[in-house]
Amino acid sequence: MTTPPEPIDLSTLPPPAPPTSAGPDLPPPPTPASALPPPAPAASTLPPPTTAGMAVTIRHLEKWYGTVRAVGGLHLDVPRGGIFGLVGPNGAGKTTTMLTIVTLLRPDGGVVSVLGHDPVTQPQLVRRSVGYMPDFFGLYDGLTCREYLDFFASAYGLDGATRTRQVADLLELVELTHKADTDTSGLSRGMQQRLSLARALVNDPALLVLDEPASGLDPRARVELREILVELSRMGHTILVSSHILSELEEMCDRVGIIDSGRVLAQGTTDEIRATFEVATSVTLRVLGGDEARERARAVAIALGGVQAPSGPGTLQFELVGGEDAAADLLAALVDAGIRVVDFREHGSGLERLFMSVTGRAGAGEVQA
Amino acid sequence: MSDVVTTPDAPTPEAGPDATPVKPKRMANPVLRRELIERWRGPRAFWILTGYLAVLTATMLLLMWAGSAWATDQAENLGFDTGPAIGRFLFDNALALVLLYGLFVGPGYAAAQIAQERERRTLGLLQITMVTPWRIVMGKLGASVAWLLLLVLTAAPLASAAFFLGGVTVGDLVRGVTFLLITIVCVAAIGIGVSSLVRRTVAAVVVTYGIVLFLVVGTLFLAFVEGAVRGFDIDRPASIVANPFVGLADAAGTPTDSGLASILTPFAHATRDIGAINDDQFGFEREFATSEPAFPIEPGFGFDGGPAPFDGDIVEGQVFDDLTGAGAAGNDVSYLWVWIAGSYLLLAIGMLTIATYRVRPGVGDAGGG
Repeated sequence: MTTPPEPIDLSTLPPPAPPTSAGPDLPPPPTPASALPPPAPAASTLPPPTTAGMAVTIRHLEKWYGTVRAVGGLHLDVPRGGIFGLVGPNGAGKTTTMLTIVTLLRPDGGVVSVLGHDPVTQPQLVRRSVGYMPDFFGLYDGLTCREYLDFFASAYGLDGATRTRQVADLLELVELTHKADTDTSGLSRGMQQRLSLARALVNDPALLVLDEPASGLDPRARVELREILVELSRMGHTILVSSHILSELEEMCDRVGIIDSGRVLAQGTTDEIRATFEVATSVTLRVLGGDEARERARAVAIALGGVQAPSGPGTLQFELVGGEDAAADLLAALVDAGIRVVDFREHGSGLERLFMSVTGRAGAGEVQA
Repeated sequence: MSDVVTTPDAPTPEAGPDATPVKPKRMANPVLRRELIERWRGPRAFWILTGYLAVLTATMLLLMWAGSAWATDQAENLGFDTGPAIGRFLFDNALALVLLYGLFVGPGYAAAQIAQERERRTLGLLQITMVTPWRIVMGKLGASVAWLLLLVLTAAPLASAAFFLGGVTVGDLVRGVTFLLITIVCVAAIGIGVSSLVRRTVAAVVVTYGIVLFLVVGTLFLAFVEGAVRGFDIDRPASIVANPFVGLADAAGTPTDSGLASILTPFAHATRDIGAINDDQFGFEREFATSEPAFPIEPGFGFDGGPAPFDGDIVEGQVFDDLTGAGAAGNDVSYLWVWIAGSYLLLAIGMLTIATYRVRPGVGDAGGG
């Protein structure tokens, strides 16, 4: 259904704004209306974004709620196909960005392209091809699961047998066929979430936008939801999913965008971001040969740029810059040096660490173009 | 799990920039359909309707009993036929009771329509479907009016029973029911307009009831104030013409001198003077209703088992009189009700326009959630 995602060269990403004394990515303090900055440049004056191979392309997105800037100068590229995770703390601008993509918010400035369409001037074309699941269920008590989906299917213009078949298939997809004639209020939270996901799929969207889909779910429901999303990704849907629970995204996202204070600080695969931001990878190893062998191993690791970190008895731990490549290089060097390695583990280089590293640097004004 | 079906009727998932948009088929308003399912399914609607008709029938029987007692007395003492007066009495009261019920029930349901969608956060989900804001509003209006329409239509046979007694013409019935329907649509539109402006359902209901109360009671109070200021030396206070009961009394041709006063009789007095004005304006000479029944009544129809006090013969040409109310055989009707109905329709259009604007994505709040 969709073309495979094209690799993105991080060097082509738009540069972040130059650091300021207050940090480059912090929103300005609330400003009186009379002292508001001049409006963002009109969309028509901005260069059109390149949308080839992209499900979503955003440049210079600006959104204000009164005097509070929710999003400022945000750039985002979501390639077609795969699962893209939008990671950020509460209030970072994830929901605002998503609402703009699904045509529920008009941006105050910037250019947005969704599947090649402008959500502001071509909202119907965008709505036709986009499914949205907010961070709440949005159910109608008094309707059964089948009626609920049937209602939204008819709202998307599906009729007759098409609608009936689509509803049945979606109920099967989210494993709610046995609850088809149950009132939506009688479902468990996990089931309600799956029904909400089915609703977002009712128009068979090319792009699925999910805002905090797993919030409030128990571990089993989270796993089930994740499996469905992976399955949907295999079926060709592009999925843009936000969360501030990083472990939730880590296992299923092909690419991530780290957003904070209304700006995307980094985006790409985790390895690309790690390499760009020189995020350290933590490696723990155990060798045979006692203290002498451990000392040799330490020398090899330090020679490769590793920094020793506190570790348990009999083990060594190093922080390496360069991600998995650096870890592999260290292992090869140890073997070449004749050190007998019996345990070698790379850890602590996950999304959580990445996020903390990227947002920490951004907060300190260290983000470089 | 099965693949989600993509059908010829389904929205095109891979719609590119140059793709020709697939226009969804026009079908029954899905919002209206859902509302009707939610409201009318199950025994609740049946019992409410049954209860309503039972109360209305009981009230009509009570009024008929009282009217018959009065008529028997009149017939014995004065010796004239009182059947038409009773027919008119029952007819006017039936219309007034239905209007009263509509004004009482209508705001509560209509005012919850959009505010409730916002509260349960389903408005945004509706907004991103292919259903336009206008269709959402019309669906809500249809759902609000449908129930009240059913109440009016089920009560119509009770009101038309007065035909057997005389004093009422088809024109009176058509005009009266027309005005009732317009008033009900207007009340529903006010409720929906307020519902789109006020975030909370309770507040929307209170405000809508406040507006309706003003139309019914506030206009009377203003009329009293106006009369007091001008020394009660005026024929028709300006504010009285916004009163729905005045409009109904005028539309139904409620007489002021039938001898048996109904709920509408006091309001009919307010229409007489402007009726005279209209006579001058339009050159019509009005005649009061004939005192003949539309259909012959068999002797022995009275409650006492004896001859009915309102026996009479059919009058040729009376039934299908001029529906505009200006016909020679019609009761005393001015064009005041047309002006009132027209202003109500304008008010309804204004409120629906406001609601349509407010239901657009990005207006009011972030898509209802």
